[in-house]
Amino acid sequence: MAIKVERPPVAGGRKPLFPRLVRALNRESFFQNVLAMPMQLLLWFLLIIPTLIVLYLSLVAWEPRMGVDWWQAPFAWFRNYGHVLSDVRFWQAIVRTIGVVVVAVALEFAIGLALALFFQRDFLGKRLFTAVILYPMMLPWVVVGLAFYLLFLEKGLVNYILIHFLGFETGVAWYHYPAVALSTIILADVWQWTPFMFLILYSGLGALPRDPVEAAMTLGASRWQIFRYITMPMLKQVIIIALIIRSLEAFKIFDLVFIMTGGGPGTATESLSLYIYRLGFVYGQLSYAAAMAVLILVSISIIIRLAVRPLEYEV
Amino acid sequence: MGEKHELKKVFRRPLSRRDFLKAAGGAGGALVLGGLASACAPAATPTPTTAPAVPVAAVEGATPEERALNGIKALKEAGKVKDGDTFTIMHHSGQRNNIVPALEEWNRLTGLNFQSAEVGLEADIYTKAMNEAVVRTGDYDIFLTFCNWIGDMAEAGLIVDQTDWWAKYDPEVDHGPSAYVAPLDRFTSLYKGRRYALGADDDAFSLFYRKDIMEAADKAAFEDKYGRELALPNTWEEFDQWIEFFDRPEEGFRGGHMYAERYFAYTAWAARFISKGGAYFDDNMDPLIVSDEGVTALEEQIRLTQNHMFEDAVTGDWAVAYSRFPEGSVFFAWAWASLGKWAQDPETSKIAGKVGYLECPGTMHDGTLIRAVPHVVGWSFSVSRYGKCPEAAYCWAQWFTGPTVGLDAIARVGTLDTFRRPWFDDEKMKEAYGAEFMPILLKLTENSFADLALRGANEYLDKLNLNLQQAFAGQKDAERALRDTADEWQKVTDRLGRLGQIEAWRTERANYPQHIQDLWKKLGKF
Repeated sequence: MAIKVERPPVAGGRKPLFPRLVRALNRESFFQNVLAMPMQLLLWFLLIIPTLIVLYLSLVAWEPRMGVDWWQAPFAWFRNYGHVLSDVRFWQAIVRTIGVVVVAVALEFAIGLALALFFQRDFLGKRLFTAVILYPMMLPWVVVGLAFYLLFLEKGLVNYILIHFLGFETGVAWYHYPAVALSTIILADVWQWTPFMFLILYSGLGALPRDPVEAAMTLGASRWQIFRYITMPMLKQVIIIALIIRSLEAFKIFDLVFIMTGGGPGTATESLSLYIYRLGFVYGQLSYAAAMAVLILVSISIIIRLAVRPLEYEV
Repeated sequence: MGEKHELKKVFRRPLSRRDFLKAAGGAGGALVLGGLASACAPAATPTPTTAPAVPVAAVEGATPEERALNGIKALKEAGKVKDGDTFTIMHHSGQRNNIVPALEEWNRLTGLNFQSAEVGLEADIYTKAMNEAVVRTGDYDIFLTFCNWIGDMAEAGLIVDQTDWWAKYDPEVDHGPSAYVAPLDRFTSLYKGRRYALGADDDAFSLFYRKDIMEAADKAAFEDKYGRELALPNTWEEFDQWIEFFDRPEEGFRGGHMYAERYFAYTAWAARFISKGGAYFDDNMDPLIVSDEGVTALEEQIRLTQNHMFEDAVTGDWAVAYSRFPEGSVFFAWAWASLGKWAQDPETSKIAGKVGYLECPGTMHDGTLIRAVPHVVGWSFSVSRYGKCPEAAYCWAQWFTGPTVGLDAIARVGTLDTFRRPWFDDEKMKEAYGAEFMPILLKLTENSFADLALRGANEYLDKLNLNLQQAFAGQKDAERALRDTADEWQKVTDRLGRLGQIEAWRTERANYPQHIQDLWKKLGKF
């Protein structure tokens, strides 16, 4: 049964002009909501509105050089999406980018896990080495890209070592052959982002309870068995999170490719981000680039949704 | 009754966070969309691309500089500008030394406040300019851009057609004793027959070789091998033999460096292609590159690149020429005129004093040698429609490129190169470039043809470069690379509107040097 609250009469005996408004203003939550409002509006400006504009752009046929404003562009509806799906260069870029993600993230995970396991024990200079390992991750992409670009130049340090210390007659033309050029990009990515894997896995391992391991040791389990059947299952959630974050980042790879190979020779090392950038900013095909970006966003969202499912069931 | 009661409860309860988000989201969305619509909708579509109507009457003044200054006086009297008004010029950082000292002088003379906004990467200028076409901040008054971007900028409604101002102020570009070297007077400024920019540069590709090595060469061996005397090559065939003769890979010294990389791979191919009588398109904008001229030119250049150059000709960038040639690891290089300055400077070069210059080789047609030199980049001033006072901005460009002010500005070290005819004989320029080089540069300029300057020029050239680089890297044969390019060009043309592109191409090909246009006519192309 609702309790009816009798409000005191307004001073002077006058009834309020807008009683509902006055009641709303008197609510305790109102002031809190007012405080939160600017942030909500900011969120709308920064996130929702641009997303809506991208969606809109993807549905029209518009380029800045057409001489009409974007809101006056003719609707193409889903034609841009159709063109994306039949764009060979798009599919090549997708396959190439997924290849880079799979190889680079797998290597980063393997090396990061090995290092994290190694660093579980105490040894002299552990703190120093930990700091040194984390160093590449702190560098901007551009610096890493430039450093690796110089390393693999025809007259770069790698070829110098090959010729002067390893007896090669000539250096390798690293950026000349697609597979080799792609491997230099993967190497740079692995160098920079293995520390990220190491950091997460190292923290995860450090936070695991000791009891199950000690119990297993008491029962005579081997190190491999402990790792395989106790450590890894307990670390599973951390691993999934690390793989998702890293894969998402690697999927967006742009700077390394842009600086080291420019996507070349030809389009042989062009990543998806680089292709979208070229479409938007070199070719001026903003609507087409928007459609591509929306497709990627939807696909990635679905993949991530599926990837985090195991976590939901276990939490 | 119970349902009604529950409803009341819902309305009376304090708002949960979720409720608030819903309410705030709705209100915010409505607010924002409303604001956005009001912000966007009233802006007029920049369809007219001509300058504001001005009475076509010559402004007083004996020189372009004087007329520009008088123009500012008149604009002040008319209340269109006043002392201290700020104007911003977007330009590449490599032009700082050319522009900034001149700005100080201009500001002193006019009382206005022109300032420089440097951009570090050339390609970013295009991106920023096209962004300005969309967002129209009015932050930039003048753009100094590649001259083949003016098609995009004009079609986007970003820049003003300067044709009437040219008539009013007369920048002396295509006539008079201080005119630009033809055909620079046309292709650095024209789009669809209208003047959208004012050229401030000459980027005819220049050719450099090691004079000392050539002088010391075994001339008899050359004669035995090729059946002619060792001399500077005139035709592409002679050029290929010449490069081959001086190629010594076993000594780590290669015959040449010519761009075969991601952004300028087209340059060497285009020089051969056009000199053979090739043209990029026919009059219906159907590509003509998959032709005998196109395929042969590319096959020749692939052979040269793969056999007589370092691999960084394919994998490096434009700067490789500026290290390979001055360090003395190649016999020949071609690039912008500034490579000559670079290679002759003992501070940046191991081969200072050993550099020779030559004209671009060509192709013989019935006893006539046809040379075609790619003009790559070419910085030009264009004026923003959204600036404070476009006419005042134009006056700056005219003053800066004038015969006297421009001479001082261009002679300073920077990425702008000499473009007015009398400057080629001027002592300042001879000192800057080397007296021996100036007559060669003049001939190169006279034989130069512009980059594709249609709407979408960046896209056309990028697709050409991608395919050519793949051909130079051995991933495609010449014909396939050109066929793939032609297919992609057709799609670009159809997307951007074939009729408009046809109009632009027909006017653009009239900007080619006369001897090339004559050759096309003779070959029945146009």
